[in-house]
Amino acid sequence: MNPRVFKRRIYISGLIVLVISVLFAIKLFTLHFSGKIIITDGYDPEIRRGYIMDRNRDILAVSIDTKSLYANPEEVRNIDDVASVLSPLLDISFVRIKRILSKKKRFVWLKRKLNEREVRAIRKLQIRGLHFKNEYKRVYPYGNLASNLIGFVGVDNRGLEGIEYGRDRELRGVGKKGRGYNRGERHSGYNIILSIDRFVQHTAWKEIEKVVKKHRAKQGVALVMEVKTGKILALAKTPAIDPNYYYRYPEFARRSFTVIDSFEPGSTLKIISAAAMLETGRSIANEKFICKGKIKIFDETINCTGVHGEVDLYKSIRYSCNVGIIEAMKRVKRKKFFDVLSRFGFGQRTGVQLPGESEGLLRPPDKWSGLSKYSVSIGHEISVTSIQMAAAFSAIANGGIYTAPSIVDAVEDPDGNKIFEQRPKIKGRVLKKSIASQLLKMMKDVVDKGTGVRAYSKIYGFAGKTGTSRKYSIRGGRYSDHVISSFIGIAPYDSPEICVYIVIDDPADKQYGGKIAAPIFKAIVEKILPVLGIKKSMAAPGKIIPKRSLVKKIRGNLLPDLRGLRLPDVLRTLNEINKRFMIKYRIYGTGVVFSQVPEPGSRIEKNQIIKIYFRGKK
Amino acid sequence: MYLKSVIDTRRKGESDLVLFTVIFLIAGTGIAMSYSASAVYALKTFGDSFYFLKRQFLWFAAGFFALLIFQEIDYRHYIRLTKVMLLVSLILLILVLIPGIGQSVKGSSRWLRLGPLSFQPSEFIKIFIIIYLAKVFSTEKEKNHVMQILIPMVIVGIAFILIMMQPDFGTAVDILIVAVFILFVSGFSLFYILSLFVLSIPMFYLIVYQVDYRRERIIAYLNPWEYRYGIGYHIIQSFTAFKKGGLFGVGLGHGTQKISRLPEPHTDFIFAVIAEEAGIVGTLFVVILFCTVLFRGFKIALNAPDDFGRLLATGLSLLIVVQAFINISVACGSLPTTGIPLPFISYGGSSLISNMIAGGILLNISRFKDKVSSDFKISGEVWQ
Repeated sequence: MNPRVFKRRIYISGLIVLVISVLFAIKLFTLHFSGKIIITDGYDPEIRRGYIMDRNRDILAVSIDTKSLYANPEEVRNIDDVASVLSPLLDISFVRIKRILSKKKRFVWLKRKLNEREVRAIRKLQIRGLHFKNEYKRVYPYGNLASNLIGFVGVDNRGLEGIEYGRDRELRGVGKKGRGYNRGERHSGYNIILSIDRFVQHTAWKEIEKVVKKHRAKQGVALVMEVKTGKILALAKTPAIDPNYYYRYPEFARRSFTVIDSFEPGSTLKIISAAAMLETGRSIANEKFICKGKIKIFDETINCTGVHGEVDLYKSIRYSCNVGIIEAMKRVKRKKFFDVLSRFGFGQRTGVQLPGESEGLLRPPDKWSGLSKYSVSIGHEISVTSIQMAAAFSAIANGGIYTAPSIVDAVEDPDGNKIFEQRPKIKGRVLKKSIASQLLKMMKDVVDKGTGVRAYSKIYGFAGKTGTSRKYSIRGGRYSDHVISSFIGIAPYDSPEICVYIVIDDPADKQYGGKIAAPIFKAIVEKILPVLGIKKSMAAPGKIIPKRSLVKKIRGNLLPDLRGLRLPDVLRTLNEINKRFMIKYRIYGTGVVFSQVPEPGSRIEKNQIIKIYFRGKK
Repeated sequence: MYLKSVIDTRRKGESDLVLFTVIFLIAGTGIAMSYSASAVYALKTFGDSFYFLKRQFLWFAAGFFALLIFQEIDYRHYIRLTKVMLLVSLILLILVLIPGIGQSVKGSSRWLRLGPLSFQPSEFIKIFIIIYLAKVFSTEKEKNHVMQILIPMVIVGIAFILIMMQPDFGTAVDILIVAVFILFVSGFSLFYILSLFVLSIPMFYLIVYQVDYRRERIIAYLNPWEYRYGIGYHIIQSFTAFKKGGLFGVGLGHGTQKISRLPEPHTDFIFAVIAEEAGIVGTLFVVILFCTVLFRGFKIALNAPDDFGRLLATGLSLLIVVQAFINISVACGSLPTTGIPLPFISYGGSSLISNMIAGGILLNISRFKDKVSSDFKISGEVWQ
């Protein structure tokens, strides 16, 4: 051996090992302190996830306790005997059980999620090597009712989307104080109570689904918000998925369009533009412009929805006249306009407790082109989320006071002690009260005699604004002929309680928001206002009539007053009517009857559909 | 008396104290860790949480005794025994494969039964093969003939294939890597070594891709996250152990990954248990200890009085450290899963005793450094 060569090669070998050791050290650092590795501890399959409930404590998500049977084949003594006993009990073939038990493993599943009878029978046998494991199965009793906001859990019972994902730690009971909540021997997570009202959610979802199907739209959103508290009563999106079987749906259907995606709102934003104008000078409201169907501004021709002739601000809003708005916008400084938009929360996250919220897109005024101010004023060159819009319009409805939206009402431990309670997140005044009521008046005109007339109700007074925006095609670099049709409305007009935003993304027939979104608004609001206990603003207020007799008498062919009755009595009464008139009926909600359609005392017709609304009695 | 001639003290100095201490430290860590890693499993299976600890203590005592003995045996005696060693190796490797004689655990027949005990021949055969290679390459003067490299490589190849048939992929690869290193330091031209590499690629492909579970392990190794509920589960659990350990670990005995999440926590994945319970402080400590074994081993090789001693010291220190590095890489997810114990630390008698023997031989070589001139030019002749 050549000593020089040996010595050199020993050094090289030493160097190789040294380099590998350094690589090990680096690898060890990354492994020990990696952010990619999420410790799944605290996750224990034996922790029962908390409930997700709506505001009336109706359960939207629940973990059901099941037992699963597994075996340790090393402990099983006589495979043939065990297999022949188990085969009839588990309804698995003898050969198959034998094959499973012959595996050279220490853990094999025999059957997952057994029923009570099977568990008892196997317990009684006391076979060595067979063990039970508690497994929880997440169940969503209302299926796709609010799937886009509740989300779902994966195979390991960890939240993957929505509230299940965003509030995973609390649902698993990993609170700030420590881990797990120990009650006796079982660990349970915290319950989450949402501001959602199951009935409102159901109504909103059914209506939006109907219209999206009818107009073959890509997707649709219906959002209902309490204007005074910012609490979200319903956040319905279609297409919806059934979270019990989330894996059957494509990614697109799983997405929560309501907070993650932003879009150009179109004409609905004209109300915010009007706010900026009125803040600049009240006289702008009375200025008159001539609309000839289009306007040229910075070499761009912007078409109007029609030829409106002489318009002032009221008329411009009422008929959604682009020319009138753009002309009036000339009076407003861009900085002012940006200031108003920011105050209303555009370009910022609202902080609603849903994961993945987008802040939309609002460029600062120094990045605006000459045209930008006018584009933004009619709802283009700005993108918003549905939550931002609803929150901004709720502020107008609430007399100019902005309240940040929220969806989680409370978190409580398994014993029912509240560990968190959401108070309305009032951000303060963003608009003068007088301007707010002026805007509301304009919006009432839209519904009473403008583009939103399809939302007009004989029972309630509504205020609203329609919107139809062209979708910008990123591929083509220009606006396509696909549209987003929307309607945002406030009800009731006299004393605003709720704000409802309807968005229909890409209807195949490219209908205007006034045509397809406004009627949905009306349909939803007329159904939910009585349930929410909000009085009619025009007709006489309906009262809950205390329970009198069990079965209502039917006088002539007039519909009796069912209000105040419980379900069994209602059914008995309806049965009586049914004998004579062959009516159909639909039941909504639980509790006692709050409202009915048609009104009490109206004539019953053959094959008529009678709708009965129930509401929980507290 | 033969024994007297074997234990010859005439020319011996002190053995390497650093290496001795480090081996003792690693083995001590091993007793603590293999107890902590196995206690829950032992309690469940044998109803006695000390089941493995008691045995590991016995093995440790036996291994330590072996180390002391081999420290006294003049390493040059092995030269005469290489042929016998190869023959014994061949017989053992074939015996282990015969059903009924070889003992099969979880699909691998790696064990031979000896009365109440069972031992794993491949753990000892790897030492035999290193001794053989050291002898062959130290007696050849010029390193440029194809046959010089071919015959030993055929013998290594046969051992490799027989060990692969058990199957014990980790040990087989360990032997192969050390063999290549010995070729390298003994002065063969890089061309030969590279051609060996190229020629062995198709063989590896066959070995790995023809066997379902190995292919699965490779796939799991490449995308552990994608298969984290299936074939990648164990490696993700190992990662989690590291993350949980953080800086100082969760404390000895307080780890939870070893309870049914890590596969073979007291043998193949013991490094992950160290990672969780002792944090990066513990894992770095172990890596540094093994590096020290290697560098002391290389120092002994540089100071050895003859070529055989040099190659033997190089080979044995590499044998320990390469095996350690393979085990650590598997736990870190840097290599596909293969069952190979962490030297001195993993639970297991054969592994501990054979590593102790390797340590003993290294220590014995270290005793010759001062007595004989380390001048390379004449050192090749000293033995004669």
